[in-house]
Amino acid sequence: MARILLISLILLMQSGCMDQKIVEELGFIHTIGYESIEEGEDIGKLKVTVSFPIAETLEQQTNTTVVDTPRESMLFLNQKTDENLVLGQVRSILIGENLAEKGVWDLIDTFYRDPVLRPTVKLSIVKGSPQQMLSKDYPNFQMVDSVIEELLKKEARLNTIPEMDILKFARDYLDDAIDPIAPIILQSEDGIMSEGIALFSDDQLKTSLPEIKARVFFLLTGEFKEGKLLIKINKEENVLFSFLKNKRNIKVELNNNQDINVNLSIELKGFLLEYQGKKDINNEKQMAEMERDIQEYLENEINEILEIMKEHQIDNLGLGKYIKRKMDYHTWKNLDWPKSIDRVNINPTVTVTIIDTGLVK
Amino acid sequence: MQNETFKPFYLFFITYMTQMGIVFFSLPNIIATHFGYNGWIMIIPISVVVLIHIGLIAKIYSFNKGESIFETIESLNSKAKMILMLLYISLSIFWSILAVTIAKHYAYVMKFLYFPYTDIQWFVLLTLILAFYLVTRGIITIVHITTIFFFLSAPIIFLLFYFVPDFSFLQFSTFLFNENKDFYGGIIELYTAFLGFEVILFMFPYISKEKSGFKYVFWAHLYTSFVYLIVTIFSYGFNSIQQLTRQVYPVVTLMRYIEFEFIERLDSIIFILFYLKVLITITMYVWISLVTLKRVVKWSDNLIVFVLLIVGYLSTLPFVTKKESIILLSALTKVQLFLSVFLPLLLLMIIFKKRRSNG
Repeated sequence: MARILLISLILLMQSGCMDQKIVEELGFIHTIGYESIEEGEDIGKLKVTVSFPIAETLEQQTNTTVVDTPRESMLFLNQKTDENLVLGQVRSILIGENLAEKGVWDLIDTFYRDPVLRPTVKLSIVKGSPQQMLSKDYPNFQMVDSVIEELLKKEARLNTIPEMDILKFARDYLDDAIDPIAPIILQSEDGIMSEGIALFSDDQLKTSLPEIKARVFFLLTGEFKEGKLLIKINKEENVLFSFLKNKRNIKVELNNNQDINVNLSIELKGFLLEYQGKKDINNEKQMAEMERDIQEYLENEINEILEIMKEHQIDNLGLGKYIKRKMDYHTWKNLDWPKSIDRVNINPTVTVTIIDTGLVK
Repeated sequence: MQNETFKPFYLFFITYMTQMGIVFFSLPNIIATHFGYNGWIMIIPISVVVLIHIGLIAKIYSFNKGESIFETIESLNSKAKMILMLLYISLSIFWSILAVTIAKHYAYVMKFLYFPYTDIQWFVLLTLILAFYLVTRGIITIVHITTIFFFLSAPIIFLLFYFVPDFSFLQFSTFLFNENKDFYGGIIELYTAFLGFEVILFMFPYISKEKSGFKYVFWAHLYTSFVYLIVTIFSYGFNSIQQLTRQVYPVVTLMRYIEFEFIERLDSIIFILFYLKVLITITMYVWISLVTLKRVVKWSDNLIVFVLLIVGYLSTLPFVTKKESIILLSALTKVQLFLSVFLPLLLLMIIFKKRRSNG
């Protein structure tokens, strides 16, 4: 009996060998770029660029093809290289701005479905062409793939861009109370830089927030955990603020299901690191004045973000989730969120406390 | 072998391992589709009903004083022996088909998710060889192996801590059961997810007689409910409800999200570990069909199990695609649900009738 068990165990393990893959023969695609072609004879088609590292030389290779559907691209790309391209190690997907404006769900759905791909594949929007971004030779670094990956991670940690992956995008896209967001990156002269947040309506890119507003956006989502904030009170006065604590509170009030009031309160505590201006930061009275100035500045910024969202009838902050909690099912369904966002009165209030002003008096 | 008994303590492992099946991976999807918003709440009432169901079995156990249920059934009427034999044969064939279908279903999911080139029939065949080995070694060995497998697979639950930072109560909303489809069908579906405890009925003669030994079955059921509940709550808190209704295996997706510095794709390891659990479920169903068929034929255990597995294997051969396998499995589990309700009721009726005529 023991012998039978042993034999069958060995046989059972053999079934794993049917699926063997030899690493040396594989091209592990690291980054995939998608963009739509705007001119020429292939207009309306999809341009797909993949980049994968070559193990021996530690350099990366890129490959581009023009196809009708995302899945097709793998067949064509495979023909162009001696490596057998596989998707199991994909780290990020770059989507060209023009394609994002048309809608990205078809693309993401293919990735979301595929059991080979991990759901943590990072998603970002590229201003310009992903193909150019991936295939250019950069003087400062060898592998643009890993630079993109690290940049996305670092900037997300510093709260200038969101950390967005397939699963989270799908979650917010499918949810009826929030619209998805994604980071924007672009090719600069000597490298790659982040450019704030892309705001979506359903799966279409509507507008974007620049980097300074992006940080304020994260104050609103309550996800701002660390980082610095540059505050331009006016032309002469600049404050660099380092946050220690950010508390955000959202309260929704409903009057007869007609008036929806959302009270957004944000509480900030932090160090003042740098100040350019005429105020004496050691004077308590002037400090209090400065706190008020910062509050006013932030409230203005917040109102601008809310105006952008109302203008495009989108809700990337997920305010809908809070409103949803206060309603019964039918009222919520009739509300037709987020198209009704301009019906909502949103009142932001910011409280700033400066704890310390640094080592120098 | 008839005299061999095990401590009631082991009932915990055997009940839990048989109860928890492959349905675990799609449970949040089943709940979200059938019950809609905050559907996870439904686990609690269903679990309570199952608890009452187990209570019935516990009652039978205490009335029977460790006597096999076959003796109870046969004591009723000796004339109806022919009908009983037929019933036994069809039941044992049914359970062996159920066991093979479970094996096949696991193989389909595994093939789809991780090993697309694996030959399903080959994998099922090898699983059945392992099940054959386990079943023919007798219930004591099964119980011991189950305990080892439990400790191998149980710590997986701690991985849920990984999702604490991404968990959001906002995802739950305050709606209750809105956007549900087929609420009552969902109740049945959820009930079948708890099935497996009924195999205890066949173990009465093998449990060493101790006071309140049956409490371990209750504990096992409560533990299963706890695992189901916590995994479903985490799925609800991590995904949006619309997303949950789209994912076929939300638990696999949840596991796929886990990424550690030192290891990636942890989900495949977990899924393979889950094989141990599936193997136990299969083994238990083959075992009950063995003890049932033993009442009819006087063959050796090896021969009976061999015949049963062949019958089970051949009858599931025509079901080729995953869709067919799902339809077959769901039909079979519904029959099993009916059996697990009907059998204890029948036994209780017999017991009461006997008591009345005796008293």
